[in-house]
Amino acid sequence: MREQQNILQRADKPLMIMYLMLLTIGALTVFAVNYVPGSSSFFDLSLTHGRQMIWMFISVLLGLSMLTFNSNFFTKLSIPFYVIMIVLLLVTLVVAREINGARSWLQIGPVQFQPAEFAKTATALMLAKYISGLKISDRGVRYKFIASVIILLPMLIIVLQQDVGSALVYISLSLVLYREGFAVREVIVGLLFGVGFVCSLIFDVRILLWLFSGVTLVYVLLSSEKLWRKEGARAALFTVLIILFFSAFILAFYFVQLRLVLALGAVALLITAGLLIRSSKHIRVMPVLFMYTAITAFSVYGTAMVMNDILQPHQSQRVLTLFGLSDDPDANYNVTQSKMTIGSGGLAGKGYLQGTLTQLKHVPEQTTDFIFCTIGEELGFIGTALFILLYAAFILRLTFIAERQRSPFTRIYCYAATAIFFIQILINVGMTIGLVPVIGIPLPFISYGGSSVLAFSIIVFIVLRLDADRLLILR
Amino acid sequence: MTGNAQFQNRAWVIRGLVIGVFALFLLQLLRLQVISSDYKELAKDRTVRKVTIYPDRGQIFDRNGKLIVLNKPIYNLMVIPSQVKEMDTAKFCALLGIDRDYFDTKMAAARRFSSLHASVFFPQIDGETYAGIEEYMYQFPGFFPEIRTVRGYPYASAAHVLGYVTEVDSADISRSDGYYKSGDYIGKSGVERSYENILRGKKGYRYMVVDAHNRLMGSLADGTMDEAAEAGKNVTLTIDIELQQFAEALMAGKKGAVVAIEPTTGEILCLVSSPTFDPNLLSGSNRSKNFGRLVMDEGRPLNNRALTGYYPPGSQFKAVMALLGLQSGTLTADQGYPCGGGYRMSGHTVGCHGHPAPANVVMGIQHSCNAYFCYVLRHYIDDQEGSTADNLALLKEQLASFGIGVRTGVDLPGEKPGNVPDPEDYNKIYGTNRWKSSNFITLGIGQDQMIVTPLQNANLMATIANSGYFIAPHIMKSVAGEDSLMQALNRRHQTSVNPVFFEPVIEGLSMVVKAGTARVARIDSIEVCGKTGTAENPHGKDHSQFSGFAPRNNPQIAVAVLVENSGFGATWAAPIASLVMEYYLTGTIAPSKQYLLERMLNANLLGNPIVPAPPVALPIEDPDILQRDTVVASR
Repeated sequence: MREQQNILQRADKPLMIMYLMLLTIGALTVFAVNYVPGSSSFFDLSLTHGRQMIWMFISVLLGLSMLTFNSNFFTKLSIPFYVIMIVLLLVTLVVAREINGARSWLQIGPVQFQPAEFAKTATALMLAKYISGLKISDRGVRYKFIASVIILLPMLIIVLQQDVGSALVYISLSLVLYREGFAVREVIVGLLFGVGFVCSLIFDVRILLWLFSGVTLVYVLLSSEKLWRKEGARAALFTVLIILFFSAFILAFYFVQLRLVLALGAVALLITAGLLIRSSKHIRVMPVLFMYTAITAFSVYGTAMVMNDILQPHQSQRVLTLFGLSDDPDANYNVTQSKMTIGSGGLAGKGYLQGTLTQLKHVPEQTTDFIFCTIGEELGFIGTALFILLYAAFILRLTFIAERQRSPFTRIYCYAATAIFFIQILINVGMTIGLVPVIGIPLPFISYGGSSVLAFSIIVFIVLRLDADRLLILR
Repeated sequence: MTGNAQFQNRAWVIRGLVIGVFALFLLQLLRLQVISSDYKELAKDRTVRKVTIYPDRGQIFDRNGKLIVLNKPIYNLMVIPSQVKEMDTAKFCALLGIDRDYFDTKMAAARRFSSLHASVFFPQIDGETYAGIEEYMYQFPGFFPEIRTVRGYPYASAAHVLGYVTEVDSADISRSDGYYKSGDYIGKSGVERSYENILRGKKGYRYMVVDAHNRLMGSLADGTMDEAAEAGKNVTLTIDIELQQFAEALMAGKKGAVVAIEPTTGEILCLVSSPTFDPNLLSGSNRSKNFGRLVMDEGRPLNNRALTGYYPPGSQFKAVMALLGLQSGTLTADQGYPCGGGYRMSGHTVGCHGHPAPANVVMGIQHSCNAYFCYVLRHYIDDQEGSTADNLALLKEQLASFGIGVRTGVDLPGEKPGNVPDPEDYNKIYGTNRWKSSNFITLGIGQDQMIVTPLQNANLMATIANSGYFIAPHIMKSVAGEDSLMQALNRRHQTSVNPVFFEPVIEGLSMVVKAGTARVARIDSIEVCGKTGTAENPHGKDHSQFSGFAPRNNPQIAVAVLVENSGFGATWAAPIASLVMEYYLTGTIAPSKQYLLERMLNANLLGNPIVPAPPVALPIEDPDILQRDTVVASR
């Protein structure tokens, strides 16, 4: 008893209060969404929000009991928990029935849950366990590769479950790698791929090809200026090879029959040019050239593959919708209804339980993915701004908690939690206000759903438990 | 700690990213919720439906309070496919008199439209038929009736007066300043059109909220924004529907018009254009079946000859010519002119028939002497001060005060003004001022370029009956709360002829019936005044015309009758006018006139079968004389 009081006193109060505020807002909002004027009672636990409150109660109870665990329990748990979750994800992939196009729900008796929700926590713990065990100098390619695999393994399985939304959340964990001192080159490369992807949706690929080639060529020629001054002959040969490479590369897109020959030729030219200047200190353009080749090839071929093969048709439509490229009214429908509902709230909102569009069921998926609409409609800009600020404070508090740790394990875990909450709200709120494609993931603590409330609560309570022992070094 | 410190600045990059994204969200929310009004408008668009409530159109009564236009409920059988359950389809089809094919096609079409919303399954079922189905309807969930009203005409008469109602067209919508919406109804002719604003009432609106499937979910703001509909006003017309039916029966089988006016009030007692049609033919769903046929009909039944028919007035004009002559001082009541079988000018002669020499105005009118009125015109034009052109202009101006050559201002749509030539017309034909009275001498006997509608003829007789004034003919007798309208309708128009000059003309018109060209128009015990006209028709047989009024003292009715291509005025027009007057004044036709009634009713001058007129309670003593069906065969 004394131990528990002690731990409660040591737990971070601001985070806990904000967590409880978010849960309360969640319960009130789920109630408002399903409110039927004159016939719903907030204390009727048989209704949707009632079930949600039972789940919240279970979550808090479980979280409080987790606070009694020893911190070391979590460091020790991380590897087996991760392995179990990977197995569970694989099992789900095989046995799950398809719901809304995804095979992500596992049914055990009467209980249905989404392993992907809990796999986030497992991955965060695993990442913390692995990186905290490294020396500060161990930031090379090998360590980065293993850290990436820890993140990408569950992500890949979830993509195979056709649950692209949940998989995207794992990308946010690269923020943790960034904070832990791994080079951000990959992130920048990733962003460049993203830019290439978006450009290829908007522009004709041939325009893109010439644009990318032109920019890169100018960069390479400017960079070889020193080489020209010091080693004229080598510079001339290098320039010829590079120009031949660009020609072959560009022609490969135009002559379909000769594509393979031209592509191989281009690669051969690039390698020859690379070998030629390998020993030169005066020019470092090869990584840029490889990047150019990869990004351009991806933009021209990869985009079509992503849009047609990886993403499901409705998801491709949503991507197109986001960039204003879709004229499919169905694809625009959800976003329009959502923006309309939020917009109709105005400055002060229509008042709690007064959301006419909510009550007239104009909002798609309004208890889960689009629950933010109800906040927007009933509480207006004042409500949404306060809500966004509360969430911002919650996430920033997590980063402050992370930074005050002596134990790298706790810091890394806290950053993983930060990243997960950040991307969840980024995608969820972003999609309801039309800034992000429609990707169905829940708004933590607010959206209806037992697994989601439980999983997010566990993330928070682990933070609270580890933080309570912030003076210890955990391994 | 050193390792941590090395990358601590990256914590601020991450915080910056979080703050940046959240700031972006706040900006977007500010735009959606506060700055832009687009989403609020859209929300209103998608959630609020304005449901129109159509008021009942006003009913129409005749001058004796008989209901002549009413609103008849019809039923559109609607279906909401998602609510249709297992049912006895065979029984359902039998009740409606449809086959399985119709059922399947309509259900498929309804599903294609929407399974949640009502579509018309079977349109326009009349009240009696629906009453037979109604008790079984509970067996067929998903089907329900939608009541609409269409116009009904219990007397099946007065089509041209009443007009018809139909859906608005795009021109009506753009003219109406936003009142009419597609699918609304509007009066297209007759009283329905000229009193559209009174008859239609005011549409009401209910504001309803709808869900994402566009289903109505209840009132917006508890109905506080709703606007109630106002029913159209009932109106009473000046028409005597029985007289109208009687006159229509007399005109059956003939082309032409009958207009009767109460002289002291200008009220139109009946207005017939023949051939006519049953107004029920253009009501509701009947319209689409019949309208094309009526448009194509050679008899042009949709034309209102009473208001738009252009006919030379012929000898009827002599009465006016006499009045103008007397007023101008170029004629005195006891002036005689010679008539040796016509009026001779250098070149040609205006022929006349054999009759005693006209020693005065009364005799000139009584014997309808052509020569007499050629002299009257000549003196009117030549003997007054001013040029020929001036005096012709004066003639035109004076005729306008009788409502001739100008619209009378009747409150029915489409009236035409007729024609009185003016100096310009002759300048064009003969060259400027190179013409004189002899060039248009037949104007004096209602020919040349003189054109008068049957309505103007009737109005002229009303004016003579009133000894010098008329009230513009009108069809609206009373509407509650429209006093200023009624005042405008009853305004008195004074002619430019002094009342004292009317006496000899009225005497002449009386002598026409007593001992002149229209003895056939006599009514026992009632002194009838009138004048025949036999207008020369360049396209065929002359038009038979008669206009008159009765009784001479205290005139109650003025009538103009025109029967196209049927010969002398006395042959058809005068008997018909006389029968109309007698029926109106006495409520019956005297036994001595039954032979005339029979002949008029049965005459078919069109050479094609008479469209059977609706049953009319005719004042006939022996009903067997009416054997219309055999008329064609016997001719």
